[in-house]
Amino acid sequence: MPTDANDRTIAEQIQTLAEGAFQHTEPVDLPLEARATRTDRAVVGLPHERKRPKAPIWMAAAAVLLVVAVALTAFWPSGRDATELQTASKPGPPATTATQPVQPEPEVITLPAAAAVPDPVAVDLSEVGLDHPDNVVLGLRTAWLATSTRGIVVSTDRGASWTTSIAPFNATPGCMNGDEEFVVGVSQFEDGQWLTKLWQGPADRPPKPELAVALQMAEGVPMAGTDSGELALFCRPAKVGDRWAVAASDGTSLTVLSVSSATNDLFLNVLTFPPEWRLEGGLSQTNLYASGDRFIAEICVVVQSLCSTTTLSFPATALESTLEHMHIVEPGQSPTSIAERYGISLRDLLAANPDSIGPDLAQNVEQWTIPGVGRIDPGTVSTSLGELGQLDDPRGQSHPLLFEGQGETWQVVALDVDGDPEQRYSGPGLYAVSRFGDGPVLLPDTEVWRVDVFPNAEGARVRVWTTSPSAENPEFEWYSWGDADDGWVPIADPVTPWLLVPESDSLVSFVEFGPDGLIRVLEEVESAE
Amino acid sequence: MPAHTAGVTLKPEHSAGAETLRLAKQEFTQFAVVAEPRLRRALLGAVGVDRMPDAVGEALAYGWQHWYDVREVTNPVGYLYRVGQSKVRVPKPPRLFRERSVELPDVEPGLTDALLRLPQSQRTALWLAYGCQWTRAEVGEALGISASTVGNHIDRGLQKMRQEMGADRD
Repeated sequence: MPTDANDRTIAEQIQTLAEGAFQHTEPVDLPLEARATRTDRAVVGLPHERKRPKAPIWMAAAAVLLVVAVALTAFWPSGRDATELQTASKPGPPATTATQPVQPEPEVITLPAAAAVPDPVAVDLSEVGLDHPDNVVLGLRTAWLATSTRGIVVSTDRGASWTTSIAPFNATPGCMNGDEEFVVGVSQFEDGQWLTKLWQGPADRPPKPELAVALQMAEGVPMAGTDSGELALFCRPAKVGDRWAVAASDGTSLTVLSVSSATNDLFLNVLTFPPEWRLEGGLSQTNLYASGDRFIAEICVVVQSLCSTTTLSFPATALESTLEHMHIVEPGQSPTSIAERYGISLRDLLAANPDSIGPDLAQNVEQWTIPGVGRIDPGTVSTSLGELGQLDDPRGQSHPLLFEGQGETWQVVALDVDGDPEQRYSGPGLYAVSRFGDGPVLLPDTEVWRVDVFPNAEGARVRVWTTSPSAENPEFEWYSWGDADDGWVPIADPVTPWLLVPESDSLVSFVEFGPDGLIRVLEEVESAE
Repeated sequence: MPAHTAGVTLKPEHSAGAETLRLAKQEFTQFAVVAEPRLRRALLGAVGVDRMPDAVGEALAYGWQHWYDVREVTNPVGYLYRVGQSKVRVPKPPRLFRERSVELPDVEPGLTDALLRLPQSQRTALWLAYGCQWTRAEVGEALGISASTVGNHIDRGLQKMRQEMGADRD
């Protein structure tokens, strides 16, 4: 036991203890195949299992007699012939039988259309030429998406009609939400090259912060290190000007799909990370934010159950041109396999790389120019790699790192009291709020445990919780910050204008300051209620 | 941009259901990859190392069985924590390590015993807040109490541990 152990706080030692105990545990297997679950039954249209009390023997016997009686009723001739038979041969069941008609319980209950909205798309894909067994169907309220190696079908009117697009490879990035608006990205082949088209929801409504996305990545998707066929993740689209974009990353590259709603130009751009940016891990989640004329990609790569975050910022203009993508040859790759990976012909690949003509030369090429896929110039990209991560204050409260509001994205960072960057994220200290890319703006020198940021057109207002609050007795102070050099200015009488903000543990990201001084909550991101 | 539009009559298609089931499993698996270690760590402090695997398994099984409901809650890991905790009986006091021979973490000798002697509410609040780095709101959701009550449990738990360990600060 080192001598400094006594100097450490109990909280830190509990964390050390938990980490040590956790390291001695084994992962628990997932129970997916254990039994037919409620989710299993729901998605295939079966009713939920219900526990029924065991019937006593006399009830079983009565049930058998009942079935016999019903069978006799069903097969007993009716009408005049029946009467004749009754009188001529044996007594049949009385005309007014005591047994009620028993309907056999159906094995499959067809859900009504309204209830089946999020459930599978009941469509015969062979009718639109897509009968490949690997079809993927995403069913949401307003849009359905199916794909296969032969193409893509999209329905934006709940299956009433389908739009088909034939892509030369099995690649369908998609980004959809379950509400009224949606964003869908699909690939299609046009004029000798493949492009990605985005269908977007109503333009007058912002996209939800979290959109479920099912991204099927196969050989055709230019994402390094993705050998697996499928990866499901979440993404957040963003819009700069008239350009919508969604992004995906595996920690070694960033793929951005974008469309201009004005010109309908569609682009797919790839940024291959230099080695020092790369995050090796498993699952990935990529959110896009808009800040002025730039996109900010927040990339979370899960490394040993922890989210390792990289944040990149690049101008929206980087997506306006389709530059050629450079492919770095990996061991074992041939020109043919590279062409297949990107869904282009070997002839097109060789035509884009005239120096490689000839069988001997082709084997020695280390970089291949891939036509039809844009490349984001790394020189236009800024990164805050290493500066972002899980932000927990000394009392265990986590803080979101990025906010978007009024066209700008805000970043929350933490500094210690003395401003020593080595002490970042540890011990009680100040919180700084800054515009992304600008220097930090320190909050007043007060010990806080939570900061909520409300950006607006003039700057931002910050709610600083100074003690442990409760919904009944919140204790906080308000400060505002603008473009002036005054820094954070306390708001003297913030009571009236802030009454409409939930005072629980809710976190409001999108708020609007109206001319009457009242706040209109546009988006409630997180709520403890 | 040429595109072919075709009207299609909807038909019952079991393969579509199977496909959606596969997607649901994929979605749950993605969730479980992240949730399982968090549940394992959280339930370790709540029910001990002996019951933890059962608690995590029960929580994940419940999560899959009710996935369409669970995925809609604000804090699904906290929700499943409560499920796992309620599924197993907790011995008093729970053990954090299976064997005494394992190398104990670098903490003060009396820390583990002081922590395990705390009332369950205080011990669990401290474990989740500091041992698992959960927010107070998340701890409150998992324990079914308010964030301010979590703060009270933490303060009192720390005070007791300080007294037992003879420490002068948290």
